[in-house]
Amino acid sequence: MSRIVRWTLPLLALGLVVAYAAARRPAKPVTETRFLMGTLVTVTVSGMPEADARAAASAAFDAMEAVDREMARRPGTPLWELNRSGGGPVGTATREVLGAALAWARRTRGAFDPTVGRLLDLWDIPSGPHPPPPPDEVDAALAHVGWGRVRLGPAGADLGGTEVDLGGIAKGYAIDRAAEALRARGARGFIVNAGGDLYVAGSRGDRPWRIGIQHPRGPQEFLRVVSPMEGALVTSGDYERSYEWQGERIHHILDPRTGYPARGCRSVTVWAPTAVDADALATAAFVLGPEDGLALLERQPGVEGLLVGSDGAVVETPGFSRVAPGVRRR
Amino acid sequence: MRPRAFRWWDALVVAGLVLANLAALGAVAGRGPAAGVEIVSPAGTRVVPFGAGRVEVEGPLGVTVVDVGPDGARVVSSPCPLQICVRTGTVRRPGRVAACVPNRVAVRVVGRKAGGSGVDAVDAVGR
Repeated sequence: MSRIVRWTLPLLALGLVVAYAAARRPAKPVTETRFLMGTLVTVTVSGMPEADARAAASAAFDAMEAVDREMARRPGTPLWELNRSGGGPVGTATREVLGAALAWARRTRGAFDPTVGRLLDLWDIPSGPHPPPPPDEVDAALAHVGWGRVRLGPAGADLGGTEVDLGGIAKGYAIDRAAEALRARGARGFIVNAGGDLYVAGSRGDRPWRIGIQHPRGPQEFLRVVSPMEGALVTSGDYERSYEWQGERIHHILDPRTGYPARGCRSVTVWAPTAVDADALATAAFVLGPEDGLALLERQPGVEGLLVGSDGAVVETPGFSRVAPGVRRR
Repeated sequence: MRPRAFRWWDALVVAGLVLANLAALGAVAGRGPAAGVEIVSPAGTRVVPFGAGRVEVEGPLGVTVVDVGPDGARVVSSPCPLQICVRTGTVRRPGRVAACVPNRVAVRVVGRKAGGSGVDAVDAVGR
């Protein structure tokens, strides 16, 4: 009996040390998933008690849903009504996003253009595969595209005969609002992932977050695995929402200047402090192609990017590896 | 003559207590989601163990068929126009997702055994 007593005390102490060390290990990240904004949205939170993390994730989803309710182009939303009446009053959030969209349209000389609503309807990629629209119909839809015709003032917006689609930027705005909601509830390490467009903050706890950038032609491959700095990492690719028609890839990123799917790039990944800017810039750079797209990204302070051309060649801004250092390069 | 400081009975006690500690540590370290495939659908989220085979998931457009293999899962068929979920192929690593957005079904590998320590294990995929 005395032997048990003699050994129990030191080993009990050892057990306490082990238990303390185990308890100090960061809790596993909490992940919540919902279908929102026409895509799969996942919010991952680390470093918080599970109940708090789930409450924070729920607030993030609420913030995104609010954006969707206002800016989705479907019957009943304020944006739908705005398009139907050709103009009218706009809410605060829509004004902010439409203002940002028009600013990016001006700065990209129309490579990003929120007035592509008619073109998107004509091509109707989500219901494919089907033949591409005839050229005269593309021309007719193109006649309703032109960001310069939209007037946004204190009284509201006049769409000037165009139809606005904020799909190329509202998702980024929603991601930013989700990040804001997470921070407001004390989350410091999190990822907001809306269909592959990301906002990454803090760390996973035991290591930096690890993000795979999808290879545009290898569904099982990553172009890179990176641990990005805090900010948004948004990718536009011709492999998402696409189909093959008679050997030609028909995809959803339309060139607002020609009315046809942009052909210069396979994918563009943009890092920026905010997802709203990264979203617009990824689309614009994709439309411009690798050379002009790279030049556009290089002109933007605090923005970096990685572009894959239609020939598979990869180019990147000088600072991309700084903001998104590679875990491994394939 | 000095008494022996350590006898076989001491060794037995030490071994027993060390084993108890290790068992407790194992229980703590084993926390976390079970290894398998998480299936998200309008009915909710559930984790299916690896090797479960064919799983049918009801969505608003109809049935999405998922094949859960010994180390991953793939969408075999889904009533969506673009078939992006089917084209994604087998997802084997954490972070990889095969999603049928129109039918609101997503398949994701989760858990400790699912390649969590390799560099292919990512927390999210930018695409």
